[in-house]
Amino acid sequence: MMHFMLLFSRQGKLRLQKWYVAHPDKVKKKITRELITTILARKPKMCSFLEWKELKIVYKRYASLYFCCAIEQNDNELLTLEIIHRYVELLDKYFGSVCELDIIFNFEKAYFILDELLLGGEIQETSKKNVLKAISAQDLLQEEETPQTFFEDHGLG
Amino acid sequence: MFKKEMAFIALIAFVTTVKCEISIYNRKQQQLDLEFSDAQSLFGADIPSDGIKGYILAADPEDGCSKIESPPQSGSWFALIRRGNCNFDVKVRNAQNSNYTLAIIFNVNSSLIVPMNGKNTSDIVIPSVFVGDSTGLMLRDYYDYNNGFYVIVDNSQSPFDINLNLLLPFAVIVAVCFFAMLGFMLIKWIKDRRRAFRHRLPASILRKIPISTFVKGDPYDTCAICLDDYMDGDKLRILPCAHAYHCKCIDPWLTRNRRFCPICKRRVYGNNEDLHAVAYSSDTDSDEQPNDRTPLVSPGINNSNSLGVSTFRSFRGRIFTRGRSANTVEVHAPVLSSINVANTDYDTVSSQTDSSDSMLSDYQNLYDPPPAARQAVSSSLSNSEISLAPELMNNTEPSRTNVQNHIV
Repeated sequence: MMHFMLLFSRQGKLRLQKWYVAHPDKVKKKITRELITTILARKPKMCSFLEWKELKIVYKRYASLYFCCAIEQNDNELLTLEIIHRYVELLDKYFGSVCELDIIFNFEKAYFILDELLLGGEIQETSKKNVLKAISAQDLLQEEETPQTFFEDHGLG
Repeated sequence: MFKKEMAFIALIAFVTTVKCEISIYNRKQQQLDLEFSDAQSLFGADIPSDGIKGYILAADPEDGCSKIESPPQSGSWFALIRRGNCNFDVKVRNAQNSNYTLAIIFNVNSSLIVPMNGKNTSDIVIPSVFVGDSTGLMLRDYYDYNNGFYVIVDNSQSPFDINLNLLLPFAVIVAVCFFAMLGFMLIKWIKDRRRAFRHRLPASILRKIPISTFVKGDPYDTCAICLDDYMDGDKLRILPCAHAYHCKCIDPWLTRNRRFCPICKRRVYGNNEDLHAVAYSSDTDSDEQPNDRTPLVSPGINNSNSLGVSTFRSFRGRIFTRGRSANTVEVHAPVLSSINVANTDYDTVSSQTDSSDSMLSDYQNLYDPPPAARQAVSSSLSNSEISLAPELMNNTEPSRTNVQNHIV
């Protein structure tokens, strides 16, 4: 089971975080800080997998962003790399040549896509098509609903 | 080595002693063999400035505490007496009583030269000197009367004679330090110069940054450098970050200082300059640094936007084109939907607020939009209870030049 997923920039700024196990905020911050410093210090040619406490860390760098997942000992690292890549592909497909700024400004979309892909730390939908379909359906729903609620809020509806 | 040591000791003893010199001459060849330094005692007669010439004879009781055997013939004789067992003045008095002209007292097991002192020394008339352990043994074993040497003890009154033995290493150390410092400063200077050069904007790129002539109604009002309000006809340099300055104000800054905007600190690059190579390269000096605009997945993979959702770039572009053309932001459905989506979803993502907050503030700092656009946006939305919306819109606003390029 995946314990958490972090996205952070080369400057060490956290961009997204998703936790599948409960931790107090303080612990989360501590873990995040520790992992970011550890991973940023690693050279490009070094292994993408590392043992960290009782977990295994799988990370991969895409341009300016690091994708970092923590998995249990009996999980497959290569599968995790595959999940990361699938997520990146999804983002890329959704945003169209995704860059870090896309994720910064549309972080909620990135979270939605992640939620469609992963549930409770396990992969739930392997089909990219299905994920994107679900997201576009969601977008459509929002586009239909929002203007009305907006005008209603202002007493125009 | 030995001489050096002696000189060093003599240097230490300068403060308290009158330095003397024992010069040893070969009797046959009349030439200088060796020199030792010594210290004159504080009692007895002074050594005359031209020195005393004589032969060394080891005292018969070695310590000279009892009566010393007289020299074999008349002349000038120096008694060589070992330190210890009795006071200096007793030894010197014994030597004087045995018709010696000078007493040389040598230290035992120490090369330290100290000036001798004594009580009730008014009756002592001969001079006496003190030498170190090794000097004394050497004088006794090699240079005494029987070996055919005579000795001149003179009063060299030049305490500040330049000693090459010490001066040379000192000069070498100083020179090495000096050259090391010189080299260090040279390297630093070159590095600084190269860095400064790299941070400056080349004139060829400066020429590519658009200049526009100010007309009333433009969204700029004051030059942040000279603090003058823009007048009609002023030539403004508009940087890629949409900040404008007088040409004459910003050009020296860019070409002689740093190639970033003084307000928002974003790097300035020409229209067709390779963004990847330029942007943010100042930090780590690598050739190809990915920045936050670098696509995560390099092109080649199918990245067609088949779903037609509003991407970041088009989203930005829409706001920008409206805000710019009409100077007010009309509230259109797509924009609103995005805002509202962001708003409603804000609760769902509130567990991640720390990250998102920091992101927002980050980018607000980074992209400070022109005030006119911001006002327009916020006024049009002031009635709404969407708190996040202006922020989001502000954030998206100022990257418009890029957007423009992208769209065009």
